[in-house]
Amino acid sequence: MKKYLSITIFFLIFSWALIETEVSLARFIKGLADIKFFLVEMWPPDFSEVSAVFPDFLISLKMAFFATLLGSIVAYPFAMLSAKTITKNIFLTTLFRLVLNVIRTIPDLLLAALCVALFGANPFAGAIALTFFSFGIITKLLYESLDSINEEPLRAISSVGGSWMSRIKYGASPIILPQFLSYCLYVFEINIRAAAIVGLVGAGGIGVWFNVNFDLGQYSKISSLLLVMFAIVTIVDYLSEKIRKKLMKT
Amino acid sequence: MNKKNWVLWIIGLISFFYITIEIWPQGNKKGAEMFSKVFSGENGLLNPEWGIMPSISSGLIESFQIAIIGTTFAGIFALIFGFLGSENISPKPVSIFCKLLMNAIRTIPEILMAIIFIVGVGPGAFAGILALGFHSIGTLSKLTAEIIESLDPKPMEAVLAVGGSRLSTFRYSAWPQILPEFLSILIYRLEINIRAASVLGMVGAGGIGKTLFFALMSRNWNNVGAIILGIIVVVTIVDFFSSRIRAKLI
Repeated sequence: MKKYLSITIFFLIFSWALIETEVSLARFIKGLADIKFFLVEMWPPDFSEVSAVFPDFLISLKMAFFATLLGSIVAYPFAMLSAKTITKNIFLTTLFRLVLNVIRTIPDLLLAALCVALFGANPFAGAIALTFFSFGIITKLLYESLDSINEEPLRAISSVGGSWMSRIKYGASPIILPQFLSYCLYVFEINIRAAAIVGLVGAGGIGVWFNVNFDLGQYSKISSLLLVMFAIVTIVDYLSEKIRKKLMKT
Repeated sequence: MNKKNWVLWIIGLISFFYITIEIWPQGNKKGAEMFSKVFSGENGLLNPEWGIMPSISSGLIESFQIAIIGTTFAGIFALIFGFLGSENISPKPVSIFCKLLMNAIRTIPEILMAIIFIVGVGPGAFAGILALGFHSIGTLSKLTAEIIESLDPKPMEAVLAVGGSRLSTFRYSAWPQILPEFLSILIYRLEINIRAASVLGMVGAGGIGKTLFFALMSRNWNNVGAIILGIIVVVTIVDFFSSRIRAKLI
């Protein structure tokens, strides 16, 4: 009964949304001709500019690296403060979790646009935006795993009078470190993708060139950039997955 | 910590400082001044303009609609591609081809997809739905294929052993295993898509992003503050229901 009720509710919401947003198959099919024109223009990819914009690919990579490192270093203590097993203070952990939840609701591009307003249209703005973004994700993943670690070593430390710091150093860190590193790599994968698009709002990196080429209508250059990006993302994903598998074994 | 880890940390920190120096914004000495201007003060983010709440809420509702339709469509296609891509069900060449295709789709960022679809169907919510839908097919299919690959074969063998047809094997042993996990990743994807849908409008694909874009362009921080507040509220509500439903499913 409850099952049918939820299905009905979902269908009502879904059809309301369909009507309001004027989704129509006819419009999509009509639009396909224009999209096809666009895709035909994209082929063959024009690699002539890739070597010229290669430094910006590197900038994107550097932004992702910067953000992952800084974000994870800051995330570590905050995750400890939000973990119920480490910090035995419900008020404190709830407060930190609330703040972290709010930070995580803000989309990466919005953060980037705000940072551009603050720091100007440069890679630094993008790097700071991605740092906030990574901080939010790593902290959440980390405190969730900390919530489910074996509490006995922690209790042993507390019972001999260990402080909050020594609980982290001797109780939590040895258990959680491999997982922490694995989360950092995962966030690095996300950041590589995000670093490529924050340029669309002016925050540096390769995204700037997507914008420029769109405005100039040089679609074949866009497809070459996408292909290089695909190669970079694939390599990073492959390496990161290999390292993560190794980390999980130890 | 052993010697190898220390070396890695030192290399990481040195490259971090190197990158910081490289991307440090030059000629932007008004940082602190900009900070106080953007955040506090009469025209700052922290003093949101309540008067535009009606137009914000209609934008937010549209973003929600974009996310829910995009995710649903992607879910339907992801089921098909998930089966085609799973190594244990479909033939090997098909599954490899499907996985490669999905990887390629996932590389194209949502925001670039939105630009492509705007070319086809014109600016508005429909372009946003198509962009989110296509991008989500990539990620959802990969996850669905992984669910199918990790199916427990024993219940299926049991149905086959008592003389069940292929269809009833699927209906009574595979499907009940797939459905809860599939719904869970679908709802998780909705959480991601609601964030994406709130920035897609920045390139013209409907939703609150359009209002946000104009507010950012005209540096109207009161309006930006109100919009960010609205996004935080909507995303928090969606996250809340989503985590409750997912907890029930698993």
